[in-house]
Amino acid sequence: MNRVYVVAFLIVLVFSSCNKLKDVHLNTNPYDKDYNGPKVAMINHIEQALIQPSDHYVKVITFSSTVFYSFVVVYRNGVEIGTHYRTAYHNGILFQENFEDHGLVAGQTYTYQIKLKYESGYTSLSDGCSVTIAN
Amino acid sequence: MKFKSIIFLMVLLLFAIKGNAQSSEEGGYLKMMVQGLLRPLCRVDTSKMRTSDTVLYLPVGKHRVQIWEPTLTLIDSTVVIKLKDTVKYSFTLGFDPAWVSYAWAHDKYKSKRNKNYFVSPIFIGLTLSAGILMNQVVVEKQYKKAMDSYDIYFRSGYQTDMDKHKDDFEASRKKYNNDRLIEYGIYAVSGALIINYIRIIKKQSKVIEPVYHQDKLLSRIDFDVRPGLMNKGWLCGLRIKI
Repeated sequence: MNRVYVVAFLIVLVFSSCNKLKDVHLNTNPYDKDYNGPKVAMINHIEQALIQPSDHYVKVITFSSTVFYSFVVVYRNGVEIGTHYRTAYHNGILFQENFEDHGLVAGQTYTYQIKLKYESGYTSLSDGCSVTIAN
Repeated sequence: MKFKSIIFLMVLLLFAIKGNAQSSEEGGYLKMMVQGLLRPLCRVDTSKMRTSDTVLYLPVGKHRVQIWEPTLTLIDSTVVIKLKDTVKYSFTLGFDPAWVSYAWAHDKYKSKRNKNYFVSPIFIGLTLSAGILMNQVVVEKQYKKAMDSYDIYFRSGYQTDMDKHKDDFEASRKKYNNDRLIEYGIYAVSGALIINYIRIIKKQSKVIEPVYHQDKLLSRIDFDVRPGLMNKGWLCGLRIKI
């Protein structure tokens, strides 16, 4: 009789493991307000430039993302400074947007963050990436 | 003329021989009609033959007649032959009571064995088929529906769309889980039937199959009959007693 219980237990175990929706949760879309996953955008590099002696600016922001997006919303020191339409080319996993932020002061350090936008949804803010403007 | 006289003499000689022969036979005819299964074995005094209906010429007087056929009862009788007369005897062989009880018991045994062997597998097959059908048609449909909602949710950028497809997904998941419960219930019934079937088979294997044996009555050849399970017929055995 014990063997019957063991077989029954194994059958229940096999069937319970067959629940294919058990590990499917609908909080995996980074544009969802209930998203509960890792950050999907990360700034990898900020390139700065100087055209005129008085005009330092950030020229290129290179970042990686794991999701599709339409716009990049750029923040400097926690303040939104603009929304950039997606023009990036995809280089492996890196996106490179030519976003220009003028009027920066040489010697100052600025922290940039981005948010990705698709349709009406936004991802969470990326981690900050600091750049010190060269003289 | 000489030739005609020779023919006449030969005809006279033939009649003389015939008349002499008839005068030496002091017997009569036995017309025997036997009703058995096939061709029963008959013994008249010491002569044996396999026959159903026959006519025998026997000396006048009493003669012992024995008739037998496998699975039937032996007839042991006496016939009286009258001079130059034909006596008619009709014999009907009845079934051996042991054979009748064996046939009844074996029929019952076979009926129960077939029921035990074949009824449960039919229900097991039906329930398993119902479970598989439930899985492939109903449960998979809900799974596909849920995953479609998931895909749309994952590709959406509008919160309202995402919320709607989340609700759709949860509804499909609920139905999926309910259908799975029904499916597992069906499999549980199958499992119970399988366990019961194993129990029945074990029990059946302990049942002793009825066997019929009858000694050969009129010959050295012994006859034995038993049911053959492989060819679903009868197995007949013949043994010669030395």
